[in-house]
Amino acid sequence: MEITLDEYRLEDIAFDHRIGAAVLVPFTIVRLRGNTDATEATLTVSLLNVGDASETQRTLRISWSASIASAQPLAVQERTVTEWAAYGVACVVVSLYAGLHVREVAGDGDRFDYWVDDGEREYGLEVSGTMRDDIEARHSAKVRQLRENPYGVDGYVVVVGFATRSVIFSFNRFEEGV
Amino acid sequence: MSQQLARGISRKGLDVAFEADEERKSNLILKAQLLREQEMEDEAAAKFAQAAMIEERLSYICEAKGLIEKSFVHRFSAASCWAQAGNFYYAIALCDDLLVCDDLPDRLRQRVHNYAHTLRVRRTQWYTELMLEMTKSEVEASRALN
Repeated sequence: MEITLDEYRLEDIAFDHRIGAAVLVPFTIVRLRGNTDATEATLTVSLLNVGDASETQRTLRISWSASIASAQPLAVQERTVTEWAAYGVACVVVSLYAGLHVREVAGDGDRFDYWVDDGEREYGLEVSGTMRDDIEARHSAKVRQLRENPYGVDGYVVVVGFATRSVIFSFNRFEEGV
Repeated sequence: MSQQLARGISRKGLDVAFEADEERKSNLILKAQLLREQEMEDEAAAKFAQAAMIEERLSYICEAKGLIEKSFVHRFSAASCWAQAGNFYYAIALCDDLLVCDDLPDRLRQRVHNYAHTLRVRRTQWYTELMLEMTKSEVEASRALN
């Protein structure tokens, strides 16, 4: 399996996506740096059906400036911090590995979190973050959920394991009758 | 991605002004979600209401451009935003509008139907609870006076 190092500046999610993604940055930093003053974090990213190969593993270094690292995220529950941090990481990987833009926040009952597009068509994006080491099981559950979407669209799933420093990013076809 | 074309919703022919509105309403929804997490319900509701109005407009633009699937996405999202803003009446009306569309896909029709049904049930529960609370507080106020 090929392993490649990729780099991304976290602040760039605000420019690469059209949803006001800057609001996600402080949450993402909190989860990526943990209890340290780090200004970068390295994640292992598994790509499933994204790009040319059916499965590829890459190493991703996400960095941010010290000045924004001091900004505190708003006071919300811990699970919300994790969820919004995962949205931030998802913005990085969909841009870097699939050339997609996060275009819109999805509605209630859509069975995914965001709409992403390639300039021509829009697809679903379901995102989940966890502090545990259950990302494969969680990924499977999220794929099932995405496939229940009422629009019948294909879509992507991003699961971020902050404790294990790992990400699964997959493309999934809609399955009629799921 | 495999050779087979991915199945998505078309956004062909949409202009910069449309994209700016999409961005604005997504920004509003994100902020509203964050405000709700902070239990700032009134501020969240105001943002959901603003987003709902934009969603409706986007839906009509898509319909006019023949992007029917995308118009359904925005119409259903408008209903969801109105519900989150607390306007059940209008949210249900938008769902009912969708349900009379002959070309609404079955799966989405089922989802919209269930959503509207849930809103109707919740509306009844909410009003019943409101009346109980009002009666309770009036009894307590009257006892305090005596």
